[in-house]
Amino acid sequence: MKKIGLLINPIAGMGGSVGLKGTDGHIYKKAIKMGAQPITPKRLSELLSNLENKEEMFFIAAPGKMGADIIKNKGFKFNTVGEIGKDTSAKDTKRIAKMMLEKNIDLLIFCGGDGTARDIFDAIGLKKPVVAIPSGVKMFSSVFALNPRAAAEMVDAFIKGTDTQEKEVLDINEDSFRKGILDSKLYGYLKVPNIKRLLQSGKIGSKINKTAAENKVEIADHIIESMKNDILYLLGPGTTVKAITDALNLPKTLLGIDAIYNNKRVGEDLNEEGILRLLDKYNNVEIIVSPIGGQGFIFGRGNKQLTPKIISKVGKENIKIVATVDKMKGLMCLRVDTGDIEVDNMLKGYTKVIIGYKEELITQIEC
Amino acid sequence: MRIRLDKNEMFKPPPKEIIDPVKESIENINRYTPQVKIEELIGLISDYTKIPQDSIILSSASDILIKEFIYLFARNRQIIIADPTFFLVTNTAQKTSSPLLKIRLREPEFKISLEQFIDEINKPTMIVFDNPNNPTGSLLLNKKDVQTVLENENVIFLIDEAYFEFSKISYVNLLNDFPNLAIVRTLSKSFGLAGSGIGYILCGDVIKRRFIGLETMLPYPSVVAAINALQNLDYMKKYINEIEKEKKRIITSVSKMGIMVFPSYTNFILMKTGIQNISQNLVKLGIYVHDISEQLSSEYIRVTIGTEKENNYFLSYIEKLTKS
Repeated sequence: MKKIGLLINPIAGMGGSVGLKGTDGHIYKKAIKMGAQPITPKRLSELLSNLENKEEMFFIAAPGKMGADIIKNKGFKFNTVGEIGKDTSAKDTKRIAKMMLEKNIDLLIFCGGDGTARDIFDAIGLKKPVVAIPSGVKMFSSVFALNPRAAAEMVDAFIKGTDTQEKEVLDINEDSFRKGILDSKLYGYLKVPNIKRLLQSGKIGSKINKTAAENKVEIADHIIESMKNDILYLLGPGTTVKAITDALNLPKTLLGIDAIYNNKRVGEDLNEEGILRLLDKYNNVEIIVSPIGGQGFIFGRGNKQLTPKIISKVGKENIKIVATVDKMKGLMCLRVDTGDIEVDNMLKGYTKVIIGYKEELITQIEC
Repeated sequence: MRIRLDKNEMFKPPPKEIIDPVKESIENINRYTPQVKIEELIGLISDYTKIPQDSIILSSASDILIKEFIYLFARNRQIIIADPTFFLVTNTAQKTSSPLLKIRLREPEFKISLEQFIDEINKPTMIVFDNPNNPTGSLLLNKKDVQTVLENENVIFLIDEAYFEFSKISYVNLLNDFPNLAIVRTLSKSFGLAGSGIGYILCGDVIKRRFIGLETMLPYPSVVAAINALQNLDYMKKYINEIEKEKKRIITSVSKMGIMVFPSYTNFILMKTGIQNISQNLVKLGIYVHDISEQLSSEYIRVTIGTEKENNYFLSYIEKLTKS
């Protein structure tokens, strides 16, 4: 029997139907005035009705409209935890998620948007795996399952026993987004169950069975072998890039840009100004980045510190892209959105992505 | 009901003319395969391909030949393959110590353009492409591009034509001009002899010499099956016609369901269903299709053309899944 936390953000996604792009801050009151209806209860109900291993689940639900109201009378075993008032906020999400952690849950199911994912990250980090149901408006964090049905399959896979993988949580500035500007930062990572494929008796095993962690180590080995002295390496955010510094026994800002030179860290969590100062000091520079999120952006999402000015100065030929096989398989191409159309055009075309030790993939930037 | 549409096998066994001699051959199972029978088979392959007998290498299944080819020529060469491609090619290439360069195929064409890799072949390179490609069913390169690649002496090029009888497109006529070309084929697909496992490579002398010493004993029943298959080509052509008809019918039906299908020059179809983990859902219904979630994503499946009954069963359930 697995203990599963259940929590929804009752207002998430309500802005979408009335064109408000998110419900951060007090925007949701505007959404209600405009006639927006709650979305997350339906999404959670859809997940619950698609679960197969009900007998092996015991739910710890958030109270009232944050969970219990939706799960009750559906034949599930559950308890509630915590209390909420009439209006709910991010504080409730964080507080109740922490209480669930104290109740020793095995998995947390939550439904909401990018903001909810950030709250869950703040509350539980990588301590427990999560299954994230998207609330209906376009999500940018790759932690979300494709839809409630896919989320139900992830829950069932977890019950049957599966490993987990880290997925990105992005911080989207909703004020900018409402103005048509996508301003995003990598906020953190959550662990999600890795859906195991049902084994089919093929003629020979067609699966490589390499875990994402092993894949990242291979990529790091490849990069380190190709690293040279007297070159400044600007390392972008993310766990794939961090695997390189892990292998070098160097610290790395997971969500920011660091610089290394001759096996030493010479820049930490750099902003544009800091990077430009380093570019003045060092002649030979390479950038190492990994695509962020499910859409394959290598610049313009999660690494805005690498501005068009910096990218132009370093040059396309000095940019190395690293990504796990798992991340690349769903991407028909890579994308850029630096904010400068000339730089975007300069980056376009065929490129090589390092996907393993001595293993590269030729793909296109911007399709 | 349980149906297998996952291995690109022929949907029915070969006719009596092939099966009966195979049954008789079992009587001599205590003996090694007579050399005269091997020579007879090579002669028949030569007649069938219009390639001289001394340019043919025989083996049990083309899988073995592909592996041997990659291992023999990988040293000091980078390897270029398509992505996705026949999984055996990827797995074997990854087991060598050579740098591996994959070329991403993009829907809907799933083709390779010279522009993607022409700058990469200025050093010793082995290219292994399946044409048509598995699992997409597409033709990767046209003849002119293949010629351009072969003109580069850095390159040694293996083309897997496992599905040639379906595509009817082959580059065997380039063998005369290019000693750096090898073509591998099988009798497992269009001839319906998957369980017998006979494959062959067509190549020039320089490549063939590297295979000396790797010859293996071919099972007698397999050799008898292959000989009789090549003496009775009409059944193979008839089967292919039946497959083409069913293929058209399936494509028309699933297209109406909103499933994206891609042009196929093979006995299988790549489908983009829009349903995540579709192959797992089909397995629960007793329908086995090839799960290519590891190569593309879980909404894609590769479906072999089966019997009319099997295809109907598949169509009825895929329709239910698209509606649910």
